[in-house]
Amino acid sequence: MIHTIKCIFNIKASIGANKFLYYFQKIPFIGKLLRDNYYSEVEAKKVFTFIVMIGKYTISLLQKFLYLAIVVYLPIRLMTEALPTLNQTELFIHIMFFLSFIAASFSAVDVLDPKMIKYICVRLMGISPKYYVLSTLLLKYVSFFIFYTPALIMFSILLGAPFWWGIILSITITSFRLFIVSLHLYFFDKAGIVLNKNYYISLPGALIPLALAYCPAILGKTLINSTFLISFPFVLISIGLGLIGINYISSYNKYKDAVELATKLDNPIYNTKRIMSESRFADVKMKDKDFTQDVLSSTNFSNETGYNYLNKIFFARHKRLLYKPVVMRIVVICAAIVAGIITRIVSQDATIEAANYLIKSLPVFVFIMYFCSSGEKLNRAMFYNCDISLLRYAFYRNKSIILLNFKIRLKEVVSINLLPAIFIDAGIVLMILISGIEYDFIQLVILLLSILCLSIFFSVHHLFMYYIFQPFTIELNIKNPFYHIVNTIVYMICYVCFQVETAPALFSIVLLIATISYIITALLLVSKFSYKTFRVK
Amino acid sequence: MQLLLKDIHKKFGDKEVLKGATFTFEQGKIYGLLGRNGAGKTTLFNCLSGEIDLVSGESLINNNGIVTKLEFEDIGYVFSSPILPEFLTGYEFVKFYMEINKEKLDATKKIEDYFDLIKIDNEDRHRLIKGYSHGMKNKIQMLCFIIARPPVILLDEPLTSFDVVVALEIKKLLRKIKNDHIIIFSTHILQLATDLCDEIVVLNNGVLEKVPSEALHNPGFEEKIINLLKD
Repeated sequence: MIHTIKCIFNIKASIGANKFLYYFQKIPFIGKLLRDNYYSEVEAKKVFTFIVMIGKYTISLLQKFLYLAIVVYLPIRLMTEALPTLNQTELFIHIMFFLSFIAASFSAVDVLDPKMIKYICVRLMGISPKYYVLSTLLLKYVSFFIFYTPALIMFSILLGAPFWWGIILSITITSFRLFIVSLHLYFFDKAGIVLNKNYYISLPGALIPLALAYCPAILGKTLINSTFLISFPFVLISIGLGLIGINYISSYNKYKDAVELATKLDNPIYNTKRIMSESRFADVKMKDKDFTQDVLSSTNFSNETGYNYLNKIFFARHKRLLYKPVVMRIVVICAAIVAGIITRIVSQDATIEAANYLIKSLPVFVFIMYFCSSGEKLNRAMFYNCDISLLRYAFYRNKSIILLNFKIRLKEVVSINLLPAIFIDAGIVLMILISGIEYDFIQLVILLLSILCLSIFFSVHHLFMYYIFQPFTIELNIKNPFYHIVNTIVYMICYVCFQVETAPALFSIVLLIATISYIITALLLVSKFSYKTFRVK
Repeated sequence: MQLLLKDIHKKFGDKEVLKGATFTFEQGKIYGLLGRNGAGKTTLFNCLSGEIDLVSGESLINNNGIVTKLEFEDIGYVFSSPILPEFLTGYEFVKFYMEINKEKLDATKKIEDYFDLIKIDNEDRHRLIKGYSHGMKNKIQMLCFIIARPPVILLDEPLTSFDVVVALEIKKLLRKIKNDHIIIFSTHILQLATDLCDEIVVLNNGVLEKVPSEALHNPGFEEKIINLLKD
């Protein structure tokens, strides 16, 4: 048993220390201080392990204090402030009873839960299931008692109870919890159910006491008081139940089945990496419903050839993905337009003011259009669904082909992003018309055209960033720091524009020149460098 | 035609995987590139195909005395795990591939002929590649080099994913086309190498070593290879 505890402790410590080393190495600059060979430096690692374990236990100790502070102490202070008639000591006992005795019986017992460490110890290392469970339970409840006691003592005193109430509570809660663990095992043995995974039982089991803990108190009542909970019979019964529990736990003979069930490989927890990356893929992934028979029939595209053919099919089959962000933006724009119409109905003055502001506020639209153009999501969709595979083929990385593809896609992306711009333009015209203000026609046209120009500018920008940095890894992480830096700079420029006040005509001319030169620069740079940078990394 | 590899070096971090790999591959032969797990077989292929950059060294094509740099277009590369655009149907992908390789096509063959060749039936041709099995995806990848007919064909552990019937078909196919190509076939399965290949090249400790072809079917050959790989 002692040996098993040692083994589990060592495995956990090694995992902890390796994780620490691994993530430490990821920190820029100082991460390099730790070389890979530290993994094998037994002595140095002992020190790490020690640090990590100390850290872990400090955190669990602090957690107990934090837990009591947030779920017990703060609510009690708030409630007694609102209802001065409430006795905070009695309230403390009441809440502790419903949370720690009842609710936790359903939510905090994890003896039958699947866990990575359980899988490693039992399935991979071959530790006996019984010894594994008994050792972890022993470790868990000894540390539970040790860490919970000081926290309970402190909050007992803070809430006006004698310090020894904290000790009594800690003893009774730990004993009672051990009894509950044995009940979980009993139900697994007799009925084959895992109580806390059976949501019909565990959800009400945790939520009803939660409600009982706070609701009656809000009404000024406590259901459980200290004469019951801090009484000799209750303490005796708790300890008795705890001893029954310990007896049952130590003589239980179904641990093998229980652990086997919890370590089935198809359990998603054993594949967290996959799940994490899948959530990142989810919003750029095709769904089967995206491929209706109509979309699938090749004849729709049969008059296209080569890369046009490829891109036509791509954009047709990813409509949902590509247009979803656009549709969301259009919804927001429409909501703004509706709000404008309502404002007009309510107050004409406000509308006039808004319209006057709109027509002069071209720089603000730089900022707005920055948010109205979808870029990264489109890039991710293109990368994950198309380029990630085709970039493996040499022909696709050919200089002229990359440029050709860039141009085809630029047209598509621009046309997607122009949609919200058109809605914004329409909204502006509508607002100016219903406000009835007098306006300079030329100025309005310049504004409207500039907004379209901005939309094109950002489309070029996003696609250009993708082609010149190709920041995505196969797991769809963004790894290229320059991508972030350039994006931040562009964002800052947009933000600065938000603050400038210049003549609209001048601003528009600058904008037009900037857009045209950006397009030319992008085409030049893409044709020159993308065959090197546009790769799967 | 020859493929010349000269002193190819490749490092990952501090670890040197290829330490001056040098070899001459001849047209008309199927080479088995044999190496243990992690020996650098895929790395070598990736270097040749331009997937990753070399530290130093060069790869050249000698075409009847005219020596040119090995270009990516000269290579057909079949990856061990097939990578294809999943949003296309098999038919669409092949159509696309044929169009962009127009000038290399065999004018007598139509798209249907290619599918017949690799035995993918009409219904499956018009299904999304997304739903294809590993073996079917691999077949489509094989079609790429059958269509574009690049001088050098690299196959990274291809037959391991096929069932016995398909594996035999592919073997026959490779033997049929080998006269026009340089085919290099990486594997860690010794039997597959001796069975299909004309020459065996061992990648060990970052260098390429030829195993004399006359030894290929001698008794004691296996031990010899194992000894080579063990150092």
